[in-house]
Amino acid sequence: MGEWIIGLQAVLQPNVLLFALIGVLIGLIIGALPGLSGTMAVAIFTPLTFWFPPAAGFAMLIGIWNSSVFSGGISAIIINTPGTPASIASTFDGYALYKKGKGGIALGINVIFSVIGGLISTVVMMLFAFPIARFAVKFGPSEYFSLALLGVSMMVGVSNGSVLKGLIPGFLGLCLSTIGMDPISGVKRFTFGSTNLMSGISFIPVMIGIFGVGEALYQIYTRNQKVEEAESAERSANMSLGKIFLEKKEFFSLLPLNALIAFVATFIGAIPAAGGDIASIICWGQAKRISKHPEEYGKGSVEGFSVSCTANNGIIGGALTTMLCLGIPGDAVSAVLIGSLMMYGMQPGPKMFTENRSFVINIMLMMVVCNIMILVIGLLTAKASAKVLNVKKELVWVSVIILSIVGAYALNNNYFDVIIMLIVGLIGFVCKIAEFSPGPMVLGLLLGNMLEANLRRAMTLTKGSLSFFYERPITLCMIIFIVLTFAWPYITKIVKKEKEN
Amino acid sequence: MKKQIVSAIIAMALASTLLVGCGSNTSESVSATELTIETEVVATEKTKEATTAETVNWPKKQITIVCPFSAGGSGDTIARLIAPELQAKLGVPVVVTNRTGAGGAVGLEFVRNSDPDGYTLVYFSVDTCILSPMGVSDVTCEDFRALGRAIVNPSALTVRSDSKYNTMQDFIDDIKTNPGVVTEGNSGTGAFWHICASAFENATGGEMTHVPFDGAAGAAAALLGGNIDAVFVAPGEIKSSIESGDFKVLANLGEERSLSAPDVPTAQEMGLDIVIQGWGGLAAPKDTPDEIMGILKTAFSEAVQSESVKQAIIDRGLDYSYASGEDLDAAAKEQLQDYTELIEELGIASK
Repeated sequence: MGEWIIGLQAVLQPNVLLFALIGVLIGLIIGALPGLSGTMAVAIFTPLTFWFPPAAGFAMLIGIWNSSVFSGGISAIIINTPGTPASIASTFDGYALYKKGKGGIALGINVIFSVIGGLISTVVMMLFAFPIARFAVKFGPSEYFSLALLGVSMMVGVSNGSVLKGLIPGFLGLCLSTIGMDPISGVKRFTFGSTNLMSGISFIPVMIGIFGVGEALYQIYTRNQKVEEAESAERSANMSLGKIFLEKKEFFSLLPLNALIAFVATFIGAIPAAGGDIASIICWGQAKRISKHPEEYGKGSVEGFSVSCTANNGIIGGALTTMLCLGIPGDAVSAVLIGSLMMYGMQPGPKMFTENRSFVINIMLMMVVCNIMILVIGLLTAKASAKVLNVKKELVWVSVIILSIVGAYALNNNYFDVIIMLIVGLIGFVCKIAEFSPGPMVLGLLLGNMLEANLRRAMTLTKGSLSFFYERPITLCMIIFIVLTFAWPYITKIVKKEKEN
Repeated sequence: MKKQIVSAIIAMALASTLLVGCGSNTSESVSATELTIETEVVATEKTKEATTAETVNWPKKQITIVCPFSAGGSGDTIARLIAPELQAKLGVPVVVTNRTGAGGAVGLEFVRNSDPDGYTLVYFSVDTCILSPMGVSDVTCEDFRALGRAIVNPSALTVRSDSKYNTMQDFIDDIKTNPGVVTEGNSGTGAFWHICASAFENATGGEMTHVPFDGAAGAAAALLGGNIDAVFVAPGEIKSSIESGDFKVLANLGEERSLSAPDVPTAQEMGLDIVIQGWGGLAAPKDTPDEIMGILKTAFSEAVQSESVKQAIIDRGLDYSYASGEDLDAAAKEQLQDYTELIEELGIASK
């Protein structure tokens, strides 16, 4: 206990708090801008922190990371474009809530449940760091394959309305993921001699194109002055109330589910190479399956939205767990953080817990402090960002398109990504008019590579046999789970019929 | 109130445009711009000294180092460590920007095609000797002139500590008697570590099953989780697992022993004639004038050999190793030829 009090004293130093606060503010801005992700923000500011004392520098990075993941949800709510890949699932319900005139509440949920996710995952990390990290690293190619398969099975869940009209863009996304160098043999596929296409179509420009430009174009195309006037009148009525907090009763009813989700997300975060995007999609999909009101998911469900907010911040504790315990990055941000720790003369890994034990405790406490800061700053700024909702739509559209172009370019400093983003934006627009759900396309592209590369990796390891499906227990469990989730409605139907007979 | 918010939004959008796109000729990233602002004051002070010291009136504006690999990797780290020192030496802002894709080819091609005026530099690595023979791009080390080398990345044959192999010879015997049974993880097909593993097979006459991962970290995680038998990556990339006793390094395929695993003998010391190691430094497009190259090379050699940069590189778990621009150019040319032959022999080029 004594070392925790010493740690707390170290973290509560004014300079540490100041840099944590600066980090939180930087993350807030960069995270909210589509295309500028938390990974980028942390990587950019890492060299600056070398001049600070370790505690202050690292507090700033932790602040940036936590806050950028949270603030990615703000743009998901307001302009239907995820600010960071991790907030992709926040668009499913967040934007729908905003359209219903509940934007203020959505912003409030985003703050509160992001913090809940961050805090619970920190506690999980404090208690079970080693067992989780050791188990997560057991994930081999076949487990990653089944994890990706679980993600792909969410396509059905993400589709609004017709399942078929969700699956078609979904498989289009899977096809798009085959562009570029073959992940195993290195053969060039559909590159047409272009160096830019060699590494495939990046997922972020596609995400920005579909959710940003595609949505803006669709809104311009379908605009209806009268409806808009009514909507804005209704919204300004809501705004004047400044409603951000949920009813007490509703808040408490959401807690148990979100606590569970935070556990799951921490675990997914601990698995190397599975980040917030996959975690939030899987958590959202599973929450939908166990929900009492699955029909509301994707149409502005408060429950669904809170789950996606909890999940994307929940991975942070998990990613830190793997990073600190094993020295293996749990996601892209923690890869950068490992470098930063090494610069301070600390080697993340099992020895970190003995040699630099006090710093590990500091990091855990920094997580808590940064999340509290996010809670305060997030709630204070929620009212300001809620007012942004009331801005004229034309201005929102122009800003979205500008931000989308900037974001796509900033990713790799490459105009090619901007072109991809614009083309995909048009595709997204056409999809929307034809009433296809464009969301699954992003999902297909995101998971396609993971699916293909890991299946083939697993088969390389077994010399072409598919035996890993039943020989590896984790894989087997996950496959059974996927099959069950699909078969369950039919099984219950048959059981019911039997009973009636 | 409403108007204020409107203008705030537009301002934010435009500001971010400026942040990202203002230097269309140098195309620096947000990082670049922000870092520039941070260090501008220092830079202008130093400008006075620098301009009086140099006879050629160069540099006059910001220098951009293009890193063809993503932020956080060893290439990016090196570029970002050297940039502030170069800035102090040259008296103009030196910024790092990442242009990633196609195993580095996108960034390398960009610098090859940019003006050879010394204002656009590139993180120059062993990849320039393998991208072209692998059929990824036609960009090679001959498109550039090196400023010098900062690090080497020896390839280390590494297994789990509970593995049945205790020496390199055990491992070689096994891959010879049971060809294709041992699984080896590398950082991606056609990536440097894949070529290392293939060259090892070539030198020993053994055979392994190659399993490509996304980067060395993925391969290391798979080794730790018991999903593969061995990896060929730089010791610095798996330092924590070596120190914790999870991994043991059987051989270092580099020229010299690695700072991250000083007890591990090189393959040559053990009688296997193979040297295979990555390296990294900086370079400019090949038509850059001699006077400018002279200034850049001097600044680079002073910056890299400064105690602070040297220590920072070593702290990061990388093998510091300075070499001059001329030496690196010659070595790279030689390696381009060697790797072209080797890749052809191995038949692993992508068509």
